[in-house]
Amino acid sequence: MRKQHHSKALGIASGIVCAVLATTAVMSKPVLASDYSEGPDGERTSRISDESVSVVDTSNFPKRPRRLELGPPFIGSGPLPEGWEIPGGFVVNPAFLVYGVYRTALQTYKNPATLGNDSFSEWANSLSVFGNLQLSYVNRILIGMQPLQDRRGGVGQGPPVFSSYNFEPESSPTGDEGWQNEFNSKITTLFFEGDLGELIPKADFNDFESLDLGIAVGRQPLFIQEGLLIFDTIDSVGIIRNNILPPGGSNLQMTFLYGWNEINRADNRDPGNLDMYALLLAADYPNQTLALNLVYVDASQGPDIPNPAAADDPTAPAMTEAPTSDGFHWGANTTQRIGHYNTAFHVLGSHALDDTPPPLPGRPVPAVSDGYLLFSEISTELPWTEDNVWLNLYWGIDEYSPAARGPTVGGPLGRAGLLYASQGLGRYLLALNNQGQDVVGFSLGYQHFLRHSHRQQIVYEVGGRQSTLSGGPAAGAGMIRYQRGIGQHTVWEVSGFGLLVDEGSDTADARAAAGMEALDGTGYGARTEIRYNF
Amino acid sequence: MTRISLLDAMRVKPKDRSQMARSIGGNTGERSSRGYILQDQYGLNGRRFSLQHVLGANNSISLAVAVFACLTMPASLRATDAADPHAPFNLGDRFPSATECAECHPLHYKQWSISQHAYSQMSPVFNAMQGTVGVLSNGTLGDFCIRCHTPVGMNLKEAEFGSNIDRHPTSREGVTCVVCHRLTKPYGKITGRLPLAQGPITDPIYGPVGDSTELNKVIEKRGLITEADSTKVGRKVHREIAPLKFLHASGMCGQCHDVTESNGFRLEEAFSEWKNSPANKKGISCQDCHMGKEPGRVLAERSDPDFDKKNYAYGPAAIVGNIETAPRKLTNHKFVGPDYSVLPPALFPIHTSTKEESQKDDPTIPGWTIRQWLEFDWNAGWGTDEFEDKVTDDYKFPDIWASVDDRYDAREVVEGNIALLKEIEADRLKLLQNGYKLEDIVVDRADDRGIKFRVKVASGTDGHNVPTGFDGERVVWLYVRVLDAKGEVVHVSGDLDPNGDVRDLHSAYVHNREMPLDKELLSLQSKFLTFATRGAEREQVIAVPYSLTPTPFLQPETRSAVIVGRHFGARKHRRGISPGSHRWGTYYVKKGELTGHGPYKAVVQLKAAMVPVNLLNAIKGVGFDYGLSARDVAEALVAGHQVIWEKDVTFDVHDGKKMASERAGIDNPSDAVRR
Repeated sequence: MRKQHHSKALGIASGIVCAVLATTAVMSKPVLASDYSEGPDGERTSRISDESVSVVDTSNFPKRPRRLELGPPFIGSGPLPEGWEIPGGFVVNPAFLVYGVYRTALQTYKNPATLGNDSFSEWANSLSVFGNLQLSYVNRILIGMQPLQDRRGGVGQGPPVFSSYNFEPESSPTGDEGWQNEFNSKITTLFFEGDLGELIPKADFNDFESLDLGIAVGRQPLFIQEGLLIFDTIDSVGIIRNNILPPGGSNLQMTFLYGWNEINRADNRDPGNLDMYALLLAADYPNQTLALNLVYVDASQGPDIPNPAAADDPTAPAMTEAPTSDGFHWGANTTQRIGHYNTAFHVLGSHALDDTPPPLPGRPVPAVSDGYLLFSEISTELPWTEDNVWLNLYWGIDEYSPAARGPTVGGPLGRAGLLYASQGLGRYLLALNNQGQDVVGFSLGYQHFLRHSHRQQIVYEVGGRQSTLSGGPAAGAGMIRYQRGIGQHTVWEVSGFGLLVDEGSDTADARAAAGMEALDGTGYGARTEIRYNF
Repeated sequence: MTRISLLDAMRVKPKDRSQMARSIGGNTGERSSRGYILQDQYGLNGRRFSLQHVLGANNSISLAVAVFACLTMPASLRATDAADPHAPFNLGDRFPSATECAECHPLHYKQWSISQHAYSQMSPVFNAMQGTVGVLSNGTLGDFCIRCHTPVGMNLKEAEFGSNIDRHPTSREGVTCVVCHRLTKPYGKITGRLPLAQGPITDPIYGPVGDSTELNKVIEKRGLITEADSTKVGRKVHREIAPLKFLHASGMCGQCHDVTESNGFRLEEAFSEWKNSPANKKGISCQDCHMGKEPGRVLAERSDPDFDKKNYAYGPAAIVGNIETAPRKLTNHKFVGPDYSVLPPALFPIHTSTKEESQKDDPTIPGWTIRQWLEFDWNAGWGTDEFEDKVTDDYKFPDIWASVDDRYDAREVVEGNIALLKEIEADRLKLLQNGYKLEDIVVDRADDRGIKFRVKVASGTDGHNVPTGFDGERVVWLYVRVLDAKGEVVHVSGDLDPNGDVRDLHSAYVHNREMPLDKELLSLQSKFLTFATRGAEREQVIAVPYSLTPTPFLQPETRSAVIVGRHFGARKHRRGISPGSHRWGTYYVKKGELTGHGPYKAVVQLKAAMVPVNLLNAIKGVGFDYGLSARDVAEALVAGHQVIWEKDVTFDVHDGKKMASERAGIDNPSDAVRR
């Protein structure tokens, strides 16, 4: 009981902070945008300023941050080394830079849709560290680690667990109490990217051959079609041809991608033995950018799961191969401005080329299934400000499944709104379910920049989703988030949400039949986070 | 009274050079005696910091790091530091000024002095942009942008942002002679991070042929000095011309004209566009079009055995005293492009009648400082007979311009510069006319229900998109007016708002809903798009995605930007016309806009601006250099708009039938020359 109070108190406190900040923001003037000047009487005017502003005092000008680096400074002034030429003519000019981000958050969370009637409060931490070895300006090797988070049960076997301190409940889902130390030294990112023509310049000294190909190979994060199609870190190789000059258009880029390992499917799980082939096309035309993405996932065998027959038959093997299916996934989108409105329209489809496999134990969705997703983004800036107002709508027809989703990113609808986005830190997940099966939904948001700077901003958002199946669940939520920059490296964030959930008659009946208590109809979340870039 | 002609002004006297060298000296690593904004002359502070943080007590790591550091240290520094780490390092001896080159290469100097390369760092627009993005990115922009604009300044480790008045004069020269001619090897797409070889004028210089025969001849004949530390009196020249064949290759230009930020944001892709262009397939290089006789066009087929003679000028590469070297192919060093100066003509083109602040009280050095030049009111007519004959005794001149002789001297410099500006303006128009074609006007309807017509704009080049390069800020658009029988405008598109912007989403007046969006506007400007927290990508004048975070922090992308050809926080929606392609503008005069039966006339102009005024709005917060206001710069910017082509068409709607007659394009639009 005491713990419940603890959690609620934390939530209420954060809510109050958010409310105060929101009030402050509402009462403040908008940012002094680039879209107007102030006249002699202090009134805003669209007329460009007659005032001669002295060049900013260079002693107050932000200095290039200190970084851990070897070799010539990362975009820093000073003489540059000549480098050494290797056979083929490639001039190696190495520079090594260490950078990354540390995140630490105090957060409390209760969401019937994801945790049932449980709640928790925790202090969670993550650290992403990257080493960037620049071989020349366009050729580099990147290595990355996340030493404060790990995945239990081996690669692909479970959601990540973060180094954290659990206030409530004392026992985390992984069975650890109090402080959890997930320190590790596993490499999570390691890839090379560059330009083929630049690697062997003597093969094309005058640049009259067709070696202008980009290449990237290794374990690399992929983010295709705003993450609606692929959002995962995959062992893969990609070859890109850019600046194909199409008649009537300005640019066409074409990428072929092959992935062979670490491919997490729509259920955020890597079953192993997958191959991925993708063709990604994007073209700029005068009034819009068009993209078409085609992905084929070849699943030679399903993952091993506990064998249900083993319970009744001691001679049966303990594990069995789950059914699976090849998948064909595609997406197209168009991005443009219509009048004063920024718009993007996406249509995506997925097809299980064999029978749709059932969801694996503990997974809410199958690895691949048949369905379509319609997704639109509409936003505009308010006059005299750079404030951003958006309305995002989506409609999941049947059971759309993305080609690949990493273990921390949930479903494909994270771009639908902040309410739908996983925080990627600790166990604090989303407010509204971001899976896209048989559902319609929206988010309506407003991002407000506070006076004189982009360094303070506040976001208000409401959203909702409704199953298109009769007896399906529905939910609605609202949130506030305040962010401000502190110094050169740091962002401080406070946010909170409130949630109303109708679990739907089907779920309610199923829970009742299983003898489980009914889900609460409300949820909440509150958190404060500090991010330090280095 | 001492009067100097423009040509004299461009010649640097040996005395001036030695004076300059004296005043430049000093290696404190802080402010020099002249007050230049140096940070760390040797560029080692950052490296020391890095080593201290990395080394620790682990000897093996220390050794590896030390080896790495040695290998990555500039060669010139290794040699110098090893010999004598405390040796004075004269800045002029590290990076010779263009004014030194001018002595023997007056034609090249003159061409370069009016070029965009010479203007690159002088530009107050660029300077404010560097400052603005530096602020928005919390200083993480570093020397990106400015590394290209003043390679010498960045090699000298000057501050990334500040007034040009306080920079070293060779730094102000922007892309000066040594930027290309002191490269030792081809580096590829390095976004302007050029490792320049350092050394005095007597060190080897790099040319595309690398033949020192002519040089040796004049050295023998004139007894020129080829040792840096010689005590002999006379002219110093480079002792050798070293070969760098790469100077003739397009990749030479691609080292700067393909700009990708370290986070994968592809800012400029002129070189990449060329690599995929029909011109590439024909074997035509950047230099063929942009350093030949005619800006933006080759004058012969590449397969023509006399291509060089037809396409390039011929003449002596150097004139040493009265000795001319043997005629050879001469490349045009104006590098004509779409930019133009918004500075008073006293400041640009670069000339040698400008001295440094530290020299302002030294009467033995001719010329005036930048600050003094800024006080010279050339617009009022100072230094002209017209003004001076009428000026009254109570007219208040600044002290420095109290002398009528000085005003006449200064006027001569200004008039010379104005003549050069007109020359480069005509070249720029030629370049634009070669790059764009205004073709058909097709009338779809002209009757009492309204007038509908289309205008075709085509690419005139097969070398790259138009616009290219910094196309996110290059404005090329159709200005279309439909006039009725009385000459009244009944319909317009492509007109400017009171600031001088076309009425697109970036216009402050449109953004603030004080003017309507120009829905018919045909503009070829690409647009920077940034990811917002949520909602669709949005247009931003400056592509810093501050919607995503209150502290944008520029660092290498943690995903492969190559795979998707873009950065994940921002990108460019490219809208230029690709080679061999065209674009249609569509216009509709509605029935309600008609004032009678006509005839009506549509006047169509294809116009070009260096950058839009809204860019100035976005960067005005850090101030413009030389004390200019945003409006000062905006007015100069708009004054530089050029009409590339003009056509008109007449519609007669008397009988309800479509009738139209088109007039041929006007090759020399009336407002093409603004001064």
